[in-house]
Amino acid sequence: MLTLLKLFGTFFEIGLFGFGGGYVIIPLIQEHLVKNNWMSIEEFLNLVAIAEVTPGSISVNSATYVGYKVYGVLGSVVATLGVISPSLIVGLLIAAFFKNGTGNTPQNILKFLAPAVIGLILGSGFTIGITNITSLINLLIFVIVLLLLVFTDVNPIVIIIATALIGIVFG
Amino acid sequence: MTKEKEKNKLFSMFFTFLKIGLFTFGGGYAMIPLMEKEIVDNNKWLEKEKFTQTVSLTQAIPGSVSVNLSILLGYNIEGVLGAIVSALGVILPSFVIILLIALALTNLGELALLEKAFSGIRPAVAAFILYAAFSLSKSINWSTILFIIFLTSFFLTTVFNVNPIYIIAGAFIIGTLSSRFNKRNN
Repeated sequence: MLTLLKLFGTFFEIGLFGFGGGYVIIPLIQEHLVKNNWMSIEEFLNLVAIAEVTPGSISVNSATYVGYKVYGVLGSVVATLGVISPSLIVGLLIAAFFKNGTGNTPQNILKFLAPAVIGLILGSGFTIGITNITSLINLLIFVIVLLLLVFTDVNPIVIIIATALIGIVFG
Repeated sequence: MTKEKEKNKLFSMFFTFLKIGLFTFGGGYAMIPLMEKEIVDNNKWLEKEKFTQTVSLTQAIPGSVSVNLSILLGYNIEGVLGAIVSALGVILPSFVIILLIALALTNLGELALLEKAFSGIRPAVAAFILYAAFSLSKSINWSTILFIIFLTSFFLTTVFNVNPIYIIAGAFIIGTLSSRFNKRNN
């Protein structure tokens, strides 16, 4: 029961501070995974890859997966509800408040949040990179994928399938 | 609206958002065109103007973009119940899929082939994460103060291991203060 409460609380917090959606969730989850010993960084990266090739957002996918690992099916339900509850609460408040058009306050706050979020994601990518790029082949994969992402429109699903094959052949 | 009609509408909203959730890979703003087609064109639940207005509000809500879109659109279509039904509908497909994958991965144990595949994928994911930061940075109208916030955030998290929620809360407070300040000056 205590574990379920902790799961709900943790993912509620992750949902509450995950402004901007998507990858901002990565530093937030990383922080808790390490603290609670719920999964390794390697396992977390596997999960991000799974989230890229399945429908749905990284935050919801992470909650479902971590919840299942920690407390089975019930854990996955509790964690998933935890991560969407802040959206529901804040969303309903904002929808009711801005029923007649939009103000400029949220826009202004977001202007200052965005660089902080970028710093967090970059920091996360930095520490994850350092712990994971331990061989020449890993470094090559990392550099080539980064160049592909920056300079081409290649689909992430294609990259994941290709690097999986490279892993099977050379790993 | 009668009770029966209202129930039917909620059901049909649930299945529409379920369909939207099933076809959105990677989540986020990619689902807006599909949502517009379903909500504005097919079902005529909202007018285009109201739809666009709703979409622009989603950024102000924490959490996944797809869930936020569903909550706001659902609320504008059918109130609080509509918001809940839409949110549950949009997350159900990915919930079931991830649950099945988690079941499979934990029961298969350490499959050597799978572990090899993931060992190739992980450096690519590290590149995805760095690229996410890079592509977000392109959408910003950079100024000195924003760059200082960025650097502070980066060093607090990497060097000093500060919990990200404090950094986000700090930026939130700076943003709120600055919008107060701007209002007073206008």
